[in-house]
Amino acid sequence: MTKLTASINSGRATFGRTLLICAVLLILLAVIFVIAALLGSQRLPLSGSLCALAGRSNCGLTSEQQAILFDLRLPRIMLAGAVGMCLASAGAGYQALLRNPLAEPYLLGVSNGAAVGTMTALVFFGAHEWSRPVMASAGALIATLVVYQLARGRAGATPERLILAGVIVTTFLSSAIVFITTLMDATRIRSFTFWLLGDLSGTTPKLLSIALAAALIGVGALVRNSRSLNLMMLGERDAFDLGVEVGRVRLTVFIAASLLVGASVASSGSVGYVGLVVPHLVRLSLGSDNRVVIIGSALAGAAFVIVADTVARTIIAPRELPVGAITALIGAPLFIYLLKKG
Amino acid sequence: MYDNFSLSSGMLEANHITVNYGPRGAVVDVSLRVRPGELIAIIGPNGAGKSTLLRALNHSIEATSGEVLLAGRPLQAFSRREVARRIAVVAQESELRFPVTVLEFVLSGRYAWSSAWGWESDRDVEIARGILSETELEGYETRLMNELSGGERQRAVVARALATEAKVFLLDEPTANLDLAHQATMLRLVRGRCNDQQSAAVVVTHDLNLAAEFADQVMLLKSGREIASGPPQTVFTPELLKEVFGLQVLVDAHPVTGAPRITPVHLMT
Amino acid sequence: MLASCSPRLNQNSTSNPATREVTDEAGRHVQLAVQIDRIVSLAPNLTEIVYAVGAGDRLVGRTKYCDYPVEVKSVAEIGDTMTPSIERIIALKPQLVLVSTASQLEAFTKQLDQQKIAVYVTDPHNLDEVFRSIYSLGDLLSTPERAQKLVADLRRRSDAVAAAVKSLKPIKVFYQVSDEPLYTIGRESYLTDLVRRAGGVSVTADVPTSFPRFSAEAALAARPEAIILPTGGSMATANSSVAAALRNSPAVLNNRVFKLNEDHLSRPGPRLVDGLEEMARVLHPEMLR
Repeated sequence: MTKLTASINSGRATFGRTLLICAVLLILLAVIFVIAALLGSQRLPLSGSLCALAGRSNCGLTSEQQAILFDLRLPRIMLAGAVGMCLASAGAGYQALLRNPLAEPYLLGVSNGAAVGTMTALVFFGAHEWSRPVMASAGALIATLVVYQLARGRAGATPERLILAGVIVTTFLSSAIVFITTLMDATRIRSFTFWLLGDLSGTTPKLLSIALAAALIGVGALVRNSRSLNLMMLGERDAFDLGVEVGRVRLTVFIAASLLVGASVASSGSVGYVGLVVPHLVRLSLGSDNRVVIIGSALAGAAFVIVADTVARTIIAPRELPVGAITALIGAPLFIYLLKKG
Repeated sequence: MYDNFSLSSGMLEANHITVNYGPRGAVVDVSLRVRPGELIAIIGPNGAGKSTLLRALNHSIEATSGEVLLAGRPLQAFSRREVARRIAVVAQESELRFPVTVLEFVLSGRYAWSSAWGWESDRDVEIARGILSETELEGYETRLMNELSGGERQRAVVARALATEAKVFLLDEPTANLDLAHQATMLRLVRGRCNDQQSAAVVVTHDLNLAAEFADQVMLLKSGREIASGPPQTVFTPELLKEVFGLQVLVDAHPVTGAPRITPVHLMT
Repeated sequence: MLASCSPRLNQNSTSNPATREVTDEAGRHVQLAVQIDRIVSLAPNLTEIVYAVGAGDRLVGRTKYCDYPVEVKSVAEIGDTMTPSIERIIALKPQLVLVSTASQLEAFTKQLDQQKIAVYVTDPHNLDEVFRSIYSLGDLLSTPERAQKLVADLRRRSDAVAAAVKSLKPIKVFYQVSDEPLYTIGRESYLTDLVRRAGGVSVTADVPTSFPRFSAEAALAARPEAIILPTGGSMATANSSVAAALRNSPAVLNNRVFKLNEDHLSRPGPRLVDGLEEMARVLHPEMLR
């Protein structure tokens, strides 16, 4: 065991080490998944639930307990996992690309761009669920490009300039959200706090499968470019000299990250700080090689949001908190710490 | 698709390069050809366009007109990867915001040779380790780049360029942060590559004496224009240097190497 | 008849600036003119009460949600409930601004105080307190007899419902305020009392606060026999169907999901008793026989 942790903690990112890390994180994720499935505002019989989760029948659960476990908890946990995967890997992608450990979908205003996209979809194509993630991703991409252009000064995008650009875009889009909600007279649009704090409670099978698919595609695209991102993290000009097609990688990462953020916001609103907290902890414990950080953040992000949502579901049961309140409670202090550390 | 052709024919050739690049650092109609085994030094005052010219040679700055040929073919015909396997750049320092070890840094020089999924092969690591010892950085493998001294970091940057196994080196003031001993070591390394492996190098430097000692050809650049080109003996004359730098110099022969030795006169008055 | 009263009242107020002190339902001490001629209401239920006690002709400002009775449409609009325009309120020169909960209060009470405009808060948590609000407003607005008569009438009707359901077994009710996210009624809501009076028992009667966000699995586990969906108001489409989590609840399986007029239920005013009767009727159809 000590040998295992030693080999995970130290040394260069190699294929073998990354595989090992993924295996450990997957096991951790599976354990957290099962624990989260056993916790909720309603207490379910432990052995019966485990038996049912293992896929067996006749576990002695009532039909209601069966429904709570499989129709309510599992889809929600899967959504939490997909959202965490999307936001954490997108955060890691933005951080590498923008060479800024503070870059985060929520703080950059990208989440708000996706929220505006989702609301536009609700207003104009309310009947078509698929239009929400599509419009959300488009909104996220537009917000990303605007922030990127605003942040790029003559001296490149400094961390402070990037955060400032993010604040501007965030507040502008927040106003747009308020404006749309006011115009819409609250009909057809979920409550305002939902969009600003993130919430996993209401989802549909369709949105869940879109979020899962987007997570896989987006994370795949980022992982595929993770070595290029390693070089770009050292400077775009150096990366260009060393053979990286900087423009293509940048566009791919922007599109992949926007897809990830769009899919998660369309199904759950803006869950904040996941993209900041998770990659930071992953880099702290596993090093800053993106071939480890991106896939590691995706898996750890899934675990993180599942835990945060389990807390949100249970801490004041049978009442609930929006999951974004929990993630912000953890993330905001960390953000301040990182900012102070410079 | 260009992997199999011979590099020994023409190496790198720039024809009538013009770069409009703001008021300073522009390049006007400069041509340059570097042959296998040759080291060319580009000399000139600040803002003469030396770095711009160097950057235009691997298209990291787009030339307004003119063309760059690599082994007789236009550079555009190569992918970025293909260019990077053939041309390595040592740039002036870049800022590091994420911690990276020296070995990881040097291994990034192997990017253009990596497999589709981007993992280094054992051979990549072997090459990187070999170069670390060549650049006197053995034992630095797990040190973090941002914790090195300026000179150590500069050596790591040169080591990364060597790790690319490119045949053409573009070096932008590679000795700027180095002490006397390491300056000579660095240029000797590059010189060695030219002599032993028929590599070619273009070096931008402010150090006239190092250029005189190590370069086969020298190009004098002023306000983006080529003032003179040729072996150091023909270019490093008091007249030409006065024209380019506006400074009276004394040129004599180095007592050991016989290369021209340049001494600014104002220091003696 | 109401129109003929107002000139006399106006005359009175200019010649008689006497004031009195009252305590509102939030426990605040409020200095009020004895004779009130200009009223702004910041909630639809208060607007309905003002009309019901016969002071509708003195209402000079209302929110955009105040749509009953229809005459109110001709009264000036001052914005919505949560973000009314203070400038407009002040420009209307009211003597009294009626507010339905304390939540929207702090922001502008001070500004209104400076303009010598009184703010009176109502905050009923059960049907009796709704009756008390009606009576208090009737008293403030100098129409106590009318308010008394109204309350007596409403009480007679609610007593009739109570008598009809007295011997019937209470139905377990889940009251869905909105489905995404899932909101319901809690301990402090007057609706919990209303459900009980209608011969039901809210499965969320013990949950703290008035309108808690609620766990889907807890809602399902409570096995509600009936689900009440208030519809037709501003949340209409947001709350047009039962939350997905409750699809397998006894209420849905037995087809006991009842859409009731939201305006009757979400406005603790005179029409709440309409809502009570409607709810009792759907929960206990047998009482009609």
